[in-house]
Amino acid sequence: MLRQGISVTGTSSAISREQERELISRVRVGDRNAYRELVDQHGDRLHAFIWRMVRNHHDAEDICQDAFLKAFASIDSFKSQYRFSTWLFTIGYRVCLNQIRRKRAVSTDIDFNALPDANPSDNAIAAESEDAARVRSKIWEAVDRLTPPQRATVLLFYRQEFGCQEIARILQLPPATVKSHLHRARDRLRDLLDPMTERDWTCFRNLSERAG
Amino acid sequence: MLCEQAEQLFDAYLDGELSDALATELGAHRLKCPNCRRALALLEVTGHIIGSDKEPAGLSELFSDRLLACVDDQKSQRTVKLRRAMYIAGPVAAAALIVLAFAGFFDGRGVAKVAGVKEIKTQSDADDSLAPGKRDAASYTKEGADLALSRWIEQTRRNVDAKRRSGETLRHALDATLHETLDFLEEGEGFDAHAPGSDLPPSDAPAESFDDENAPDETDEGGDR
Repeated sequence: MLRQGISVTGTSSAISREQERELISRVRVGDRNAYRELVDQHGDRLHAFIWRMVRNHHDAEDICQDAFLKAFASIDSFKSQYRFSTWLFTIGYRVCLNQIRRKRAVSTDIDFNALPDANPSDNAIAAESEDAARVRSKIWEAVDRLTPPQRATVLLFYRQEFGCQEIARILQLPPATVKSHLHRARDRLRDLLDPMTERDWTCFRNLSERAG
Repeated sequence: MLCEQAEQLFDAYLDGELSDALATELGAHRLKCPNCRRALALLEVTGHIIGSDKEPAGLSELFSDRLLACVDDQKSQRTVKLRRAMYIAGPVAAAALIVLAFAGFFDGRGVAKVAGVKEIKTQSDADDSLAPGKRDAASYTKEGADLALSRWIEQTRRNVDAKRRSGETLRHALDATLHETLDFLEEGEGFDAHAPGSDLPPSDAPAESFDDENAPDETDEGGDR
């Protein structure tokens, strides 16, 4: 019952650290194909994290692009003892924070067209009951109400499956502060989600049984 | 186990860091305490939904292409900046070389000759002869040298421009002009200035700017390798 989520790590685990190091050395000498491979490996995963942070598809893509450009521009400073994804997420998070500070309207600027439930071709989601959809929506609304560092910690922990040490590197915080963010985030989520209706709670229990 | 004690173990339990003994104890408490059961279930399901909910629409299909185009653009901008710096530094270096060359080889005399000064005098020569009127000749010589030098630099720049107009790259034009200068200096002959400025195009003729249009395109080499 560590983390209830399934892996959403994309394809980044498809290449070994050795292959990743080789790709990066090729990028350092200007190999365009190596650039593309790194983007393909990490693009969707980074985008998913950033989209959950800013909840706007266009902003998320712009931030992603900015993060990759910054990463490639300073690829010489990448230290190979770390995972490239950790370094890339660090850059992405910094760009993301700047964007959030600029806009100051994260939770009211939700791109509803890009919400996952809006995909009519997905039978599983189309078949999902309204109650379950409502509970999901309440959970994400609660996540949106966390502070940016708490939200980032929760997303990186549950969704990207980073450990606390890696999250600390990404957020550039001490590991103890990351633990504290996670603890406070859980408390806040409990406060926000606890006053659910009995109907919601029944649905929650069903989801819990499915998750267990 | 009391609820307060149980709550303190929630984080460690959810992070999988609880010892087996404490996990068993918490599990037992959970069974008999509806509040803790509800709280833990809420946190577990929330974590599950956060971790497993369907991803939003992914990156657009052309993202990689657009990104690589931006990377290329950044690279070419850096190259242009470097090239611009070279264009500024190149003529300055050439002018400095010319000044040094003149100073070293001619001690002012050659420069004066360039200017078409009839009487060649350095300051030291003038100091030797304090006869009336000689001081004027000395200062005239110095002014003439300054004038000649600025005209020579202008001439060199125009020579470079002319070479570039005839299709040569900036680097080749600079190289050729500098070689001509060195050949001239080695021969020890005075610079054939004709009448100063007589071979220059009219001053209002557009001088070709040092842009990068004719320079070799280095960005092509930075592509696929």
